Amino acid sequence: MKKGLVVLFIVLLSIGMLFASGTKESAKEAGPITLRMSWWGGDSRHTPTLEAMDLYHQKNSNVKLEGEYGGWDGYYQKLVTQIAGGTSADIMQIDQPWLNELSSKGDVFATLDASQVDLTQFDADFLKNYCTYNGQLKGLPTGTNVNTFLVDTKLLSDSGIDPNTIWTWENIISEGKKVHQKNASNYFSSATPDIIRFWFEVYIAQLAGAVVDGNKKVAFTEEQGTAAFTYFKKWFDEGIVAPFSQTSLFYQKFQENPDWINGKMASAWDWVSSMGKDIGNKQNIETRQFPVMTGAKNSGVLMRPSQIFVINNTSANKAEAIKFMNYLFVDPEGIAVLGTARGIPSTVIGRKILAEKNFISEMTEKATNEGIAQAGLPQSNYQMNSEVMQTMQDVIDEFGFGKLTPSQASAKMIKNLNATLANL
Amino acid sequence: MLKHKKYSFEGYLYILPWLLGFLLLQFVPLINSFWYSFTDFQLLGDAKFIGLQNYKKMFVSDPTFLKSLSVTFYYVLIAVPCKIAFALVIALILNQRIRGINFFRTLYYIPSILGGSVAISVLWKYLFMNQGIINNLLSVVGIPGQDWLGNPNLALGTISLVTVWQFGSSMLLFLAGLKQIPECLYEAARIDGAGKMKIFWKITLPELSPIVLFNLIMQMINAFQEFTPAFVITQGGPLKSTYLYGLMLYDQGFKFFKMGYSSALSWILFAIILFFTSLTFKSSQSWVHYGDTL
Amino acid sequence: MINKKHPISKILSYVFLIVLAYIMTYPLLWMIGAAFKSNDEIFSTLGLFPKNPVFGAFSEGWKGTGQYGFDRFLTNTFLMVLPTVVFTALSSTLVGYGFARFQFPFKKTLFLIMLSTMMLPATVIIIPRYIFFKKLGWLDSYLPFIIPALLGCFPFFNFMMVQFFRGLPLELDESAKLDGCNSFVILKDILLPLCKSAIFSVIVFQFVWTWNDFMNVLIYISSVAKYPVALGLRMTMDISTEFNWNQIMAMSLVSIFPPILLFFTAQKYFVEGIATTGMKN
Repeated sequence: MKKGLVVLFIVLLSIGMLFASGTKESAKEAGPITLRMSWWGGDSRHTPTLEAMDLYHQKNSNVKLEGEYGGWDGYYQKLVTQIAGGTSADIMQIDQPWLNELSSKGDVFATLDASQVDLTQFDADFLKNYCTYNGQLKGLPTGTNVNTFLVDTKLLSDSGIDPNTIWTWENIISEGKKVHQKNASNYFSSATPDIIRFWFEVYIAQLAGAVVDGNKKVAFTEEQGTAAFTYFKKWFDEGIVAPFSQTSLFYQKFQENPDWINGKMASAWDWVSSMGKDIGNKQNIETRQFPVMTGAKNSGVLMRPSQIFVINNTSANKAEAIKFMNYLFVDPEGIAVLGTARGIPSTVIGRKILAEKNFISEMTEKATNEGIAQAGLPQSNYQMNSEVMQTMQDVIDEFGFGKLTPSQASAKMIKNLNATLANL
Repeated sequence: MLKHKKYSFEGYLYILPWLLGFLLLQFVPLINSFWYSFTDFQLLGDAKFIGLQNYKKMFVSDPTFLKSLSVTFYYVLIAVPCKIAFALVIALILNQRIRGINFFRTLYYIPSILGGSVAISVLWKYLFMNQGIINNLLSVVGIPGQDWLGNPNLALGTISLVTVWQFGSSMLLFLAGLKQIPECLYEAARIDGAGKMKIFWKITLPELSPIVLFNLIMQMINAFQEFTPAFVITQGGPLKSTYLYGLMLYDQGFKFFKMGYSSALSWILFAIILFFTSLTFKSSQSWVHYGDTL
Repeated sequence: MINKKHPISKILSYVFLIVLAYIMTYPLLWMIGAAFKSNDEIFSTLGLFPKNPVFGAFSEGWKGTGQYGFDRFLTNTFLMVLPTVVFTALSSTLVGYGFARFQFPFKKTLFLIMLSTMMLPATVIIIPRYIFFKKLGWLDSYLPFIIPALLGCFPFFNFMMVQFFRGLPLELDESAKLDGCNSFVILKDILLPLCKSAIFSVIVFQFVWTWNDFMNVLIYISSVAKYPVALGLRMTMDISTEFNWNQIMAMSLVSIFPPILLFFTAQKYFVEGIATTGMKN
């Protein structure tokens, strides 16, 4: 009998839920406006963003803000599903490469112009290069993110290398090999297979301008590709970098490699935005500039928005959404509350306010300035396409595992890239 | 005995929930995805009919399709038999009346509760990496360490271990099945003087065969579509050696936006699974012993 | 049983069980240790025990991100899981009984169709199903889990119950039928008591799977206020900003506690099975 009651209770409970459960996505409310905003991040992003939303609501009581936030895992899949289902939030935080990938599939993001947002606060080239699709501004950059080259000064000097070395492609090998020579379990570079791909892209950018250009064409010749692979073969042969068999399980997570955490790897290719996390509690880490070969066509050093905020093109409240974006981007109060939750702001006023309040660490500022000074041309949308990146990665994996010689790798990469590009 | 051969519509009453569920909830999405497999659907925007091109592509111009398919077959061949055999052996051990058996039973089910938890992905790497715990243990006995997850020849086997390690659900079913075997069968056999092994082969295994069949079919269906361990631990690498079919579907659909192609790939997998399931069912007529066909 | 006569084999059994138990629970032990470690220690050392214990992961993690804490996420999970489990147990019993004990037109075809719905990878169903559930107005609720359970859309369990019913001798039904019992009474009074362990398995499996389900809840639940633990656990895990692993480990431990408790307490049904089965007369 008792069991029966329990079952009955649960049945009633669930029937209750049948009616109580909200179907918010289709609900249309008159009067007060509800704006949904979605983003991914950690606590350091969630808390200030929620706080900013609260403050905004206090001032604009007709606008109710709802945050739909979570971790990184699955965020993109959910976003894509929501866009396909027409249920995405009014304001969405996206990663820069998605702007093109998603825009190319349909008119999913609202177009912004100077009448709605004070665009003079942003660097015009930055907006044009990274937030624009087909000549239309589709989003606003939350912050400026650049590549940086981290070195462990202690491990370098322990290995007999001047920690203040200015790095060139040559001395990465001639000096860098001392790390592994000194201690066979140490390496100069912490690069995992995916990071080797970034290094490869930097090298090719300097040699040939780009891997894939804006005309959907492979931009390097087979000779140039062979030269690049020949150079990186030395990284493996001279013990600059650990073999792929040891690093491949830290694919896209080099910072979780205990050898990096325990100070057995002397350098890292990184983004300024994730630098803090990747360094963790490590001491003696400093930022350096990237090697650039003489006569380089393009430094290959990347600069791009930390993330981009876009507005759902099917949103019923675009104007209100833009107003709230203005609050986050150019209102002193919004800027102060958000702080560096999304990197160093890309607005003039944002940087000014945070500098006044001492929110930006010295290391971050140095790395950002150095990176901006060295930054090269933006990569073409085709080079950033996820299928193109996968094609490069597959060849680099085979090369790194010793299945391909430099010339074979170069030929195969060009052949596979052409096939992938033809199918896009 | 002839009575149950007669058709009756009473059965429909009992399967009605599922029948409704299938027609109302499952049928439409199923047909949708079948239609997508003949289109260039890219997740957003309209789907354009392109005939059999997706199906042609996988055999003609996509080398990863065959690679992934062979990886998946290897995985099914390693993981499924190992898991079932392991689960059966443990279930037999746990079926004894040993003090503290409840405790052990719970402990052995814990890996299945942990599932694809975030902790597992981290821990598995640290167990099997170059300077990991497994290699440390091996070095104590003087066996040289391996790159368990970094060596393309070993990674799939290492991944399969996760699956085998999560044998709890299969074990539970075997335990439940063992409890259903009438004690009198054992008594009769013992009176006849049958030994332990003979009892296992002549009574336990045949009586358990419906559950063996169930585990075999379900594990097979799941293993062909497996995704999680490869996704969270190796991401398909090294050198695509753990690039399971489920991972390829995900990449094509949600990473490369080729939902049409991904659908076509799925229906091929569907056909493969259907084929092997039917084969298993056919063969089961000779080795599965049901209580209702006495 | 036999072990009493062979103390050595009994000792061997225990040694084996204990060694295996260590392997099986190593991750759990590691998680307990990790809940008291700093991020660096989690990734740089391999030991189970924290060298420099960090406390407070449980209380800090429990708070979630401030807006909603784990008390909310756990409640949500129960609201989602309990109806799903109950309905699955009910529907799979009925459907399993229907397929196992009755002859009706197209039975084989329907059975095959039922199994085949499990053979199409979920990846390609996600979007069509999402759009379909949107039309039904079920998004951002637990209905995408509860209604399919009610309507027997988990063929795994239907098939499982079929196998268990078919393992029971048909004479049981026949004799009850002679006594004038209708088919539902046969199910309720004769067969179900013999299937306790199977139904218990349905409950445990469905509980654990729905409890742990990440992909589906991620897709269907948008409001943070409705997040179950699977989403709550991952909601601070970012690729670029730092998060505290020890809090995630601590909350992982909290979140696996209910399934473990359920499993441990419900175990007696297995032991009971010994006493109730075996009368074939």
